[in-house]
Amino acid sequence: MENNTKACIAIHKVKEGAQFSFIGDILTEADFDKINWKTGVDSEGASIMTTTNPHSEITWAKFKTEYDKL
Amino acid sequence: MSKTTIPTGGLADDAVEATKLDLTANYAFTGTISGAGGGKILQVQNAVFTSTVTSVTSDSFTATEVTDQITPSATSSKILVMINLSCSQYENSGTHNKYKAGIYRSINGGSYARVYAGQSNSYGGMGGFGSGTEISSSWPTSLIFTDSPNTTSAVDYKLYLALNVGSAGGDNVTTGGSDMERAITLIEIGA
Repeated sequence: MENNTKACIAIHKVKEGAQFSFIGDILTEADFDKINWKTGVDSEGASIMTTTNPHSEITWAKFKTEYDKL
Repeated sequence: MSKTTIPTGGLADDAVEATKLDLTANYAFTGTISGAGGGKILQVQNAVFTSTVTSVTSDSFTATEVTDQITPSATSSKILVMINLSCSQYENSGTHNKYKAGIYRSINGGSYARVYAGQSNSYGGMGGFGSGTEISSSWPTSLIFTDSPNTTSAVDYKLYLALNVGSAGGDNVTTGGSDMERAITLIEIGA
């Protein structure tokens, strides 16, 4: 399994259904802070994204714990 | 005395027959041919991406790294857009792997708007697995269309991806394996 897929699974284990995107892998807290989180949809059907994490329950520590189990 | 020119009026319309003008021969043009009509390829831009890929877990279209820019030389030009890659999907415990794909366009740095594909149906994937199945898949993905941007400003084309969650589409869709090349080619065709 590739690291990017592991990262997606780990985030979904912390919060199922969270929607986001990222480029590359999430190996460090700095990578985690670059995740684009979906906050809405624009008139063209495209995701509105922000790097400000709107999910308080998804933290770097919780993510890392789940990631390391995979 | 050698003749170097022949006045136009000195040649009958049928003076040069096909047997004298060898249409199978090779001629080396050193000048510029003008007035040759439409369909000319005016420029080609292309980009190939390797290494880092984009991972998407959204059910609405999300930008990827697969993008390129072209600046048309005339407003009447058409742009042939070709994107080719192998998308990957993973479902940890479900019944489907399905995803959506579309091409978005930005003119002169403006906001991106969808110009091709991107309807609600899946662009690729498959379903019908039993509940709770772990599914990993790769899908040859090709998007080709002709655009008429009607501008001489810079035009950016970008691949957008989304999960088809309406069909329980998977945990993520990516622009492929990290060692798999992804290509986008933009060709300006003169009117």
